[in-house]
Amino acid sequence: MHSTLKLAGIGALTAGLAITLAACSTAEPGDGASRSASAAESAVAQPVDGGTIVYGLDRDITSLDPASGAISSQTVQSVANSIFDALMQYDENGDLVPFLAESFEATDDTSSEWLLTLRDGVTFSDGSPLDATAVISHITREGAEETSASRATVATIAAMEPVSDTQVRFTLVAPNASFPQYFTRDLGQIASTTAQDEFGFPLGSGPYVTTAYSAGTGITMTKRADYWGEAAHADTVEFKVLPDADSRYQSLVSGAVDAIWSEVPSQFTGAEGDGLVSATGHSATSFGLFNSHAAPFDDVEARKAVELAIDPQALLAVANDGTGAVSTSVLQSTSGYDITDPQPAYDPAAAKAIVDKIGGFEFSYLTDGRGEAKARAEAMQQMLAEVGITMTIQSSDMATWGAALYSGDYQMLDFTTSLFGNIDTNLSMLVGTGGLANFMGYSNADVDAQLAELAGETDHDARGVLLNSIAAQVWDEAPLVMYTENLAGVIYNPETLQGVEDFTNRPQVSIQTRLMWHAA
Amino acid sequence: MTLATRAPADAPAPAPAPAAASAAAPHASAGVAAAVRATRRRRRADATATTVAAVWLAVLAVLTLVSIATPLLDPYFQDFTAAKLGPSLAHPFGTDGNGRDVFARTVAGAQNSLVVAVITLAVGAVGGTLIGVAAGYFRGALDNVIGFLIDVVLAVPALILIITIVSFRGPSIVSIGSTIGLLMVPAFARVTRSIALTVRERDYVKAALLIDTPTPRILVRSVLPAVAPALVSYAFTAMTAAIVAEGSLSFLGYGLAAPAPSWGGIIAEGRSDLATAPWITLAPAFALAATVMAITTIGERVKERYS
Repeated sequence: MHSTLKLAGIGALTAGLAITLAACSTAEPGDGASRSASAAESAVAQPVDGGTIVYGLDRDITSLDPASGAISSQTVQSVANSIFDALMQYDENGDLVPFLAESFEATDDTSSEWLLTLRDGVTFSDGSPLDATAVISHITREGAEETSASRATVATIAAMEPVSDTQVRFTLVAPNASFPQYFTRDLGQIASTTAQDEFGFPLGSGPYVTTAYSAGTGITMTKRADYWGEAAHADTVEFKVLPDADSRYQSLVSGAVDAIWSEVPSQFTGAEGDGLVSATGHSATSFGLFNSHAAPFDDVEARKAVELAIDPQALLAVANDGTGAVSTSVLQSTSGYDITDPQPAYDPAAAKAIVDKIGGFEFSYLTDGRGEAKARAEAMQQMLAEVGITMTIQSSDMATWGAALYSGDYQMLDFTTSLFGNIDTNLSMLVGTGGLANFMGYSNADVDAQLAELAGETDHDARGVLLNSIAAQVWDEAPLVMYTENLAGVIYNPETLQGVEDFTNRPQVSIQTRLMWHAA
Repeated sequence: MTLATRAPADAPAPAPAPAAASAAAPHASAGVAAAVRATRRRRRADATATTVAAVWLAVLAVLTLVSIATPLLDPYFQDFTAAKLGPSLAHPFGTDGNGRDVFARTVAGAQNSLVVAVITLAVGAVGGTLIGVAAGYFRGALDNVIGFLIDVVLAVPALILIITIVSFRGPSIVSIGSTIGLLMVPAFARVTRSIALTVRERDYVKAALLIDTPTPRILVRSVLPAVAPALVSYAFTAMTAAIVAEGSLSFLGYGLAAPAPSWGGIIAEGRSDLATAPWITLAPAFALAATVMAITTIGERVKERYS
């Protein structure tokens, strides 16, 4: 027994040291530099067809149906894009361009009527045509299914009619100049309403078809021979469910997978040292939500004090390892609009003056348990303490955090979302009265009126003015406080994988597996 | 009968034949000398290990006191411009992702881990002794019921049970320590029960019963002293288990609420930076392993002394 205990102790000590030494050995800068150089060389290589790409997902996928909401988030667009083609997509400059659609244009001056023209000869994977009727059936279903993420958007469509086999006319309830932007994800990823695969999920027109599906484990997809567009390079794509971020990254380092989805800053900063490459965009924004219906944040002065006491630059340093950018507005740096009315800048003296006036107060800050959120909360705790505000950190799991978000059972909450990437369409969801993502319960008649005006405005500059004007009103009431624009995207091994797109200027990171090829 | 059967075994071995004796004697004396040297070496090694262990725990205790009594080691202060700095004179173990001194946090983590261990011991030893002694001394239905309950508790995975209970009670030193302690009760109860079972059959306990000595007096004066050595020996093992359990709990995110430092929590914080800032994990991992080894080593010496 004595020996066993002693051995256990020695083992624990040795293991601790071994892990650390191993970590030290992987951080050799010279090694990283040389492998990056080889990655750059192979980046210009010609595409190679065949082979299997193995991709690590950050979450389980319970359904492959776009109407289920399970594949509508940015993190799993790699799966959705493999089975379904979106009507619209963002090009490398961040411009919205047709993909499955041939064109999608307004047919009147008020942007209340739109004409969608489909490509000729597109078929679902069972060979049935993807025509105007199929599009209308898909959108109708997206509006009807309770689990759909696009029900509110479909409700803004008054009528849909097929003009021809390849054309659909949309008549909207109200003008909406950014209507086509809604068709980059689940609403635009046209699924068959009449045919399903062997797993019970609707067929798509995408470059791959599902050949194996196991919830909680992974999905295997095989290349379609009759794909309407340029055929995918890899014969097979295997998606592996690897929820733990560290395990997922280590699977990539060890070569068990070719690419992974990541939102962990230290993985982006450490990737080069491990001979890996990142393809990311500023497509995840972190911000804080106040519960304006309960003390202490039912007082706008309390909300402003917190807003002024938080230094986003410091949050960027500690929570994001300096990657990404400080978020200064509801408009992102990649939005294409100038930011003329940023959120009030960090000003601890002004925050202290407010606290002196209204008195010090305490509140609880709810996070979802991720390391970045925890680091951010701990930094905020010190910043707020310096101006006389006591913040306690409530670190929960994702499910508890989500329940609190929807029930409003929180005082202040840490939130990271890709919604700000499509601000033209999503601002009304975030700050409009009754908006789908308006978890603060914020309501302002002037803001609602300007959002309605924004919907009908087609001129880019005029839209920029309106967006900044709305932002200015939001800052006055401070229902939220912006922190940082975070990097999100794919990390891959360039020695085994090529063809990953550049997402730097795109408002969302939408991974296209059909463009990737297996280099090894 | 006993003496008759033991006598030959205890008797000296028959003298060897003179010729064989002259040949075997040098070998025998050399073997004895080697055994003596080996024993001395082992004792020296044990003494050295015990000294090193005691010094480590003393240093940890002194640093903990310095951390509590002075502002020299502030585990909470964040310098946002000094995140993930490598070891230096200003920061011997470097800084973490929030610009906090890892050395200061490791020392503060020791404080939390050791307090949790002490609470665990108090709850586990007191509860386990009461239950174990009661079951072993009174036997009968009480022993059966307690034995069944102990088996039930031991059948449930301890860490999952602790996570569930701490999730409901909220993470604090007291809740974590008492919860781990509650789950230590069956182990202490088994140790004390087995000794109480044998003690109740001893002549001096039977004699005490014959002269109508009150039961509480028998338990306190006769049973508890007999139980104590085994209890103390097991306490060291339990303390290391408690430290590891608290570390595991914190590593999994169910430990003390942020930003309170604990060894498991700091290791978890540094996990994602293992490649770029390994020092964040190194200090608490070393402290945890060294402390567990030190307590185990001293526990072994104590056990030897009592046995």
